[in-house]
Amino acid sequence: MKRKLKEVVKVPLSVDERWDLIEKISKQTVEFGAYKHTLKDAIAELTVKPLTGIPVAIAVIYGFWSFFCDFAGTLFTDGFMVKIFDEHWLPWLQSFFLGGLGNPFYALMVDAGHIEDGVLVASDNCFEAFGVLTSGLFIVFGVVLWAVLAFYLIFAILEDIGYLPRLAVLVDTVLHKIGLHGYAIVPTFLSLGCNVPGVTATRPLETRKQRFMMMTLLAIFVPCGAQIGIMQELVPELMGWIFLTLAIGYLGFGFILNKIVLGKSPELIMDVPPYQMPTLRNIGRKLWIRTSRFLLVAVPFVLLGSIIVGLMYLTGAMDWLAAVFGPLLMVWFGVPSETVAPLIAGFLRKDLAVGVLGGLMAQGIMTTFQVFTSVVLLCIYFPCLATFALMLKEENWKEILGSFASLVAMVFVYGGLIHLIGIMLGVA
Amino acid sequence: MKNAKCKNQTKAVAIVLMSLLALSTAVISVNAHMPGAKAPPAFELSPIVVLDDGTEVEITGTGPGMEVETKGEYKIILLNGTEVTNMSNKNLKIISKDNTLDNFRFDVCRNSTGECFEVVLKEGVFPEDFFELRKKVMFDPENATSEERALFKSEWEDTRDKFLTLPDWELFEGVEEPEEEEEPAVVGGAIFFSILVIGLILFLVLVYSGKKAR
Amino acid sequence: MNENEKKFGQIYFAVLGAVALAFGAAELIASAGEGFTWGILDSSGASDPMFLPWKAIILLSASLFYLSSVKNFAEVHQIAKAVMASIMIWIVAGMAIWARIASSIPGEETWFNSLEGFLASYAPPYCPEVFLLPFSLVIVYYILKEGET
Repeated sequence: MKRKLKEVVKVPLSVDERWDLIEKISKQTVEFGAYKHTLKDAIAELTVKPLTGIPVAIAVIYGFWSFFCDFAGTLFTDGFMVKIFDEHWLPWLQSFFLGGLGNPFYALMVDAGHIEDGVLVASDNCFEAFGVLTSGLFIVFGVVLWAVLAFYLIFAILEDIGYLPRLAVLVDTVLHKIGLHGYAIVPTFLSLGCNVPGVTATRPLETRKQRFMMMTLLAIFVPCGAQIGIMQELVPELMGWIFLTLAIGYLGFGFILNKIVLGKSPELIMDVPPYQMPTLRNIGRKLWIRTSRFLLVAVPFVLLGSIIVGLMYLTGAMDWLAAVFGPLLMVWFGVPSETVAPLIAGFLRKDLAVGVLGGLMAQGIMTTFQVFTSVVLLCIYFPCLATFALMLKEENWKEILGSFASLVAMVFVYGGLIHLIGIMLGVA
Repeated sequence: MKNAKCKNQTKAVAIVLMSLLALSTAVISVNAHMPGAKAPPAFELSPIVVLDDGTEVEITGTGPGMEVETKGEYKIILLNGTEVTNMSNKNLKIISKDNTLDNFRFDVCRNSTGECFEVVLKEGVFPEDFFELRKKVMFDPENATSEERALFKSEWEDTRDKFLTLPDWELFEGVEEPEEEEEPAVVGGAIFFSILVIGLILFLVLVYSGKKAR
Repeated sequence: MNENEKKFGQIYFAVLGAVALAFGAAELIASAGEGFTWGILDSSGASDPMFLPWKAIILLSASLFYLSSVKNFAEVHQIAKAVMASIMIWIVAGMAIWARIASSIPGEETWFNSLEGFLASYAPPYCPEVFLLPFSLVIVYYILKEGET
């Protein structure tokens, strides 16, 4: 055996040759006895084989999504948070906060109001008030926190049961086509809660190419809990189409990136543990660690974004940007001029921007297709401030520039393509 | 709708509405037409409510003394198309001699736009021989027998009571019956909820006993 | 697993699979239109039209799992198919029940629902998966039985 090994080590081996060698060695060194499959083994096999595994995955994702909608949307946001923020917190702030409607500081912190028949009137809900203490806090604690909590709860359960590694094995073949492997499902799922831990979860990936690709794909095509929560609240009927468009973008753009980015995508050996009952203690700890990380890292950025967007509106910077970029966005993406400001504000606060777009649709200013285009653009065109800050930390300046360039190219190509498809279908 | 019911027992009428308000509230005493008729049943007159492009518009009246800013108009148009100008009770009685069911058609119009809709009585609200008996008893009393007088009185009372007590959708064509608010199915829900709770307890017992066995 | 248990399992899951197949097909047809409500059976998808075809695909898959498990039922890989089918039904039915729980707690105008409103949230009609749920629990017996061996 030693002699044989010495012989082969002289020549560099390809991946396939290595596997062959491993098989030969194991055949000669490992004794195989009769092993009777248990029910757990049989179930584990079923969840990994594509023919049976895909329907199971469809059911699991259904459960994931369904739980998310009812937990975050129906129970907490609509059931309690809207009442707390709109019926108690907003009126209380409106009556006690210094300044009053029209005062710049009041507008920044509490309520910018809106014009109705030429008169500035107070907002009656925290979505439209646009203050740091109203919209800012409502988005964070009224909507996003519950969305993130729901995602991480299910994520932790799937992880502890042992389903997630099997899902990774199941999607491995597809993800290999875009230079990633099954493990990529972990950062992708984590990003559906919040992109910050998603980006952190790219660390186990071995090469810089894989990490760069993963982070770029996450930042562009994976909407976070904040966006999903608000999209579900405002445009639930478009969710299926939005996710389909993003998934096509994720795979298509990943394929292109894999071809043009230099570097290797080596194999990664993942531990696939047997199925087991999750323990409450473990789930609780995971949930706490991930949610507290979201609260500590992402929330300050969300509030900072609120302040910057508010200041841009107050100082007129937003109008200036809208005037400069307006024509380009209107011609290339086919969205009306009213959407320019929220699209620009979306650089800092995607969730709030989706809220404004929903309002525009309700007023009949935008068609459903225009809302769809704008929401998809918002999802893909820039990561939120917190993710951006983390990417600065995780990537070198070249990679950051690369991510940024891909992002700009992607937005124009993809946004233009959606507009073109809309024109061809006669809906744009 | 009840305002219209008791007032319009004469000729075909058109109720012309201003943009906001309409209809006279000169409510004619409900038993003024039939001497000796029994007292009317307990009733409540509510204003006409028109669904205007999803918004409920309440038609409160047209008559004098109404505290309304925009008063509506109330017109009686004969079957031959001429408008009745003399609205005295005496004249109205004279022109109502040949009334039939065709005279009970109501047009509700918005003056500002000219939009109208027609309200027609349902068949069977008036007994079949009602108008014939009416003509005989009220306009040719000498030739009416005492049986005919008694029959008309009874039919008149029944018809009046129908107008006063029946819901609008049983009197008029095109009036939608409001959907009844369903009683919440508490019993069905309670049964299902109990099954859920029992199922949960059984599940917990199963899990606990499984753990203990291990 | 003795011969009787095997026979019972075969017949039972064949019937359950056929019923699930019928429900799944009905949901798929319903998802193409407005959906339907038939007595206490509801497949209207009123809450979210996106969920109805999704649920139909899961039900159809579960039914195929059940039906394919029938042959040589005592074999562990075959039981595993029936177990997976049941788990898929538990997921869909569990989420339907969870949706009711989530909407039963908060009130329309008040913080919490009234007792009457709370109980009324659980009233019929129910979606097909909820009817399949109790029947799919029979698999627990076979799981326990398999655990013993």
